[in-house]
Amino acid sequence: MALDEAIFEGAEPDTCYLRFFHWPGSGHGDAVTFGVSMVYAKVEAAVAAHGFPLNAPLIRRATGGGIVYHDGDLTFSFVFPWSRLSSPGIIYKNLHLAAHLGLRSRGFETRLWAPPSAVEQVPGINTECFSGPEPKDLILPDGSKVLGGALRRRGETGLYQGSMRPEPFHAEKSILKDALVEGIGLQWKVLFESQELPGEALAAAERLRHTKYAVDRWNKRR
Amino acid sequence: MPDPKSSRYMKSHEWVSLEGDEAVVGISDHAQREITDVVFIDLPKTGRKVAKGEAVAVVESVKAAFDIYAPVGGEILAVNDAVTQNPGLANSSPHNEGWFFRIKLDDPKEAEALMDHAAYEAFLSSQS
Repeated sequence: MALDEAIFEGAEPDTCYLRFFHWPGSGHGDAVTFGVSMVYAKVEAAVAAHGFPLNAPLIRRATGGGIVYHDGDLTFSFVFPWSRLSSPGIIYKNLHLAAHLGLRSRGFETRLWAPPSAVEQVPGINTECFSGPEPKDLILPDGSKVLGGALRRRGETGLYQGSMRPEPFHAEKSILKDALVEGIGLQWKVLFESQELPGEALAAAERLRHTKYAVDRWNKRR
Repeated sequence: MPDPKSSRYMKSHEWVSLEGDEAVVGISDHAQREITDVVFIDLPKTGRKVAKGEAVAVVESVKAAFDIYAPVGGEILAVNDAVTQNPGLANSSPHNEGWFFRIKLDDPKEAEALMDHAAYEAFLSSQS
């Protein structure tokens, strides 16, 4: 989370950054992240009810959305120019369409979820990210959600934090990762180059870790 | 209540309505339409000193959080508890009941550099 924010804060204009990462641990019950506006006590209760290990760190994201259980998911962040204020729905649609196209090029079928038109949409957020799809989430043909994400807009830059369930694809994460790189690159018209994180970003992330993401003042602020 | 036509605007879509050496701040009708259904608003604490352009509030809609900036510098005098308790007011009444905070101005001239309503409308047209 700290690295995501460091990259987000230091992003050059008109530049996209796509970062893949994993949480330390065995891939089972490694960490929980939750949306910026969620109430910590409610998150704790939901995590306990979910049966997730209670010693997993609970970390408040800078982005919106609900609870994400990091237990072997494919996690990534995308920092991008968001100069003109546009609906988050458009961003989700573009990003998840990109993922859909990248996955399709590797033989994986997915589609963007849309609610039945007869169903009235009630504003709100699913408490848990994979408890059900929301409009523009990426789903499998059987309707189960495989990719969800959350957004933050600061100035003219956007941060998307995504979580993909790899299990249904029965494929190595590296194949799914390549699909995302290709799809997002095509959709955003970006040719990604692999880069080490610069020292300034690492230093900024370390500061953010110590002053924000690892401290109760941030994680338990509500 | 603040009149959209006599308010000043930032490019990041906050409006500010001047009342002597105080001002009221909110987000524009265009912003609320683009942000869509607001579900949460985090406003600054009363008494906080803020600088012009400083990120002071957060608005969350569908899984997306947006930074809100202070159009002018000064001290936060009051915040709109009604809009934090009922964030939908930012959608239904962005220029009236959905105001965000009241600020005591450090320098009333700061607002002069912001766009007036006509300039903001032209800015929106240039963005579409």
